[in-house]
Amino acid sequence: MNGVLVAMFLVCLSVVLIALVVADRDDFMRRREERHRERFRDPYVRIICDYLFAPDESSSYPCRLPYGNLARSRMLAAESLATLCISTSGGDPGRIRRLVADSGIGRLLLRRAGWGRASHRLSPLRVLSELPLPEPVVLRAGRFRSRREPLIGWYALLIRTANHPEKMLPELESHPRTLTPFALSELLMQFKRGVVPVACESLLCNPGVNVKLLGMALIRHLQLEGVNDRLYDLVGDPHPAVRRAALDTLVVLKSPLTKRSVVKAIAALSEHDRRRFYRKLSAEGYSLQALCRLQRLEGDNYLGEYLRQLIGSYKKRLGV
Amino acid sequence: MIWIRIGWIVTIVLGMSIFWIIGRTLAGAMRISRMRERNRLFGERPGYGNDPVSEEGISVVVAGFGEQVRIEQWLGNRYTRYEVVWVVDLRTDFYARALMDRYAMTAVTLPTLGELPCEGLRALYRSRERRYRRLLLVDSVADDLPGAFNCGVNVASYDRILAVDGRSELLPGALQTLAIEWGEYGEHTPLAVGGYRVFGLEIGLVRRVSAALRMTFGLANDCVLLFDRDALIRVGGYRDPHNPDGELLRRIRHASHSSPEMLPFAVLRTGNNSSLDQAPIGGRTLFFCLLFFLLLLLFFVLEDGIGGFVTFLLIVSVAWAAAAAVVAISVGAARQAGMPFRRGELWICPLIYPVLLIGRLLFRKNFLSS
Repeated sequence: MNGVLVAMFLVCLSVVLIALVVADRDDFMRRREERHRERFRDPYVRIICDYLFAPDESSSYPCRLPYGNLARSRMLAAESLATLCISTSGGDPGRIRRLVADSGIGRLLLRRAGWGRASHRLSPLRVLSELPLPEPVVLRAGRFRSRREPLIGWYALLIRTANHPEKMLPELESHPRTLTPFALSELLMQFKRGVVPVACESLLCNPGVNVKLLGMALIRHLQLEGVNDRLYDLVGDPHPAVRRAALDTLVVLKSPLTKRSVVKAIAALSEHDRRRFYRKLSAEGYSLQALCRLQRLEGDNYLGEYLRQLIGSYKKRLGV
Repeated sequence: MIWIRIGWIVTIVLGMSIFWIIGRTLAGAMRISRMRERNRLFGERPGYGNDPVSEEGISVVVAGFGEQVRIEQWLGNRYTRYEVVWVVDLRTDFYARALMDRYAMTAVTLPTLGELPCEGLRALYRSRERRYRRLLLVDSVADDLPGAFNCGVNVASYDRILAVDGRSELLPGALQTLAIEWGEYGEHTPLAVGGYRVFGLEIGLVRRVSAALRMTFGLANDCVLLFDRDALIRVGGYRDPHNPDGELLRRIRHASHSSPEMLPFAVLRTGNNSSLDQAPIGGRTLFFCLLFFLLLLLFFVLEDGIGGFVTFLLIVSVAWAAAAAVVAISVGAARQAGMPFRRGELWICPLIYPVLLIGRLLFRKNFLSS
């Protein structure tokens, strides 16, 4: 009996220990990865910076990145390169493209993105979308557009638009989903790298919903003025996302909200959305005088009082 | 003859039950697997602090004592549009009174909207300096957590509310991550999205124990939720002092089912709504599990005097302890996956545990540590 008990005890103990090891494995792997990054990132960054900023391209060209035989090291080199690409926007993409082509980083990332779960494929695709790539790699990345996971398809689209900026607007027009704030933030990152066109007014005139949303995100980001007329038109757009974004953009620009189209659009909002909108006005610092017409036209007495009290509360007095 | 028929009926019922159990188990495993994958995908996204993500404001209500370092951390967040509503009792919290001088706080007019019951609200302070414009101090005598939270919500400016206690610390990128998740629903504005709260045990070796492990054993199975302000107000605000977020979420869900004009509720992908209906099972089960192991060791030492009945009890307790350990780990794993299972479905967890690979469950989706 004693032997049976000892065996059972050992079995139970091993079950718990295995569970502990399995549970902690991810953390262990992450720590190992971080140690590797800390050790090798600096040499990569130095070599790549020497090459990117050298006056003579041929003399400083790194013929072979160190530790290039290890897939993990090459992945780290790709990530370092992508980080540098983002932070050195406006640099010569030709040099980086040549480096990516010669070092085989593009092929490695494509290979990594081609197998495994969606979450494993996402990281290489994200790095690819931040790099200037040779044309064959861009073409091969196109096959990820049809994947079931929308995020994978989105990064495949970003790879294409980053390397073919002229195709950005048609691609966005044909994109099946309305752009989320996250997608817009990714596009703004591309804008900082010079990929997205800056002609915001033409973006607002585009028939595509996503292009209009991108245009308004750019306007909000850059605080561009002079497009108010077009925004007043967009307030009456049939698509609710565009209407909402247009109202938000007008508020961020501190534009007058007494136009008939704006008042009409606000009146068409639900009670929840109106309340949310009024709070936004209050936080952005609108005065009661600026909104007198809005308050007068507010049919719901409760919401009218709500607006008056919001604007008249402590927030306005401090000019926040 | 009748017994044969009864036997057939029992056999058929048992067979169907077995098929039903297998079907439910497979369905549960697929569900958890899908949610884990979505969590992983979510963890792979970079949390950019760009304007589109930070466009909707977030009011963080912090209740109770707060050190200066912690407050600086709150104020230094990269999220563009957000404010910290710090609810304290200035009559008893002398440390907070000292901090008021540092932040040049000045009394401002109280809002009179009164959307939530808020007793004991004395004064409202804001900083004269622009660099501290994100800080809003509420002097309140609310002696419980829900009361303090409700006071904070009353004066909050933005539409999304995150309420935490004063000992909590926001991890980098947490607000961006929550905002990105919120934005994923597009036109269907969610009523809440959530994340985990990780309790730090920063003592020696324990520090090295991963967050995954801590969560697995119920040491960190609390949830923290970002609420829509209107939805929160509509159900009367926070009420439960022990699990304020979870209890509030339950009421919001209940209300959204009963009123058709409410917006659809979002699935908490990174959230933990299992804590709505039950206490942390993982921690208790683990405790009993370890207790039985200790008892077993004790009986080994006193082996000479034990009889057959005690031996039988030992065998039963060891088997139960092993099962409890597996259940504890599995429950933790399922919770990490955000699986909203009920107590009656716990049996699913041990069955599917081998396929869970819980070590990979926890990515960087822990938003708070305290």
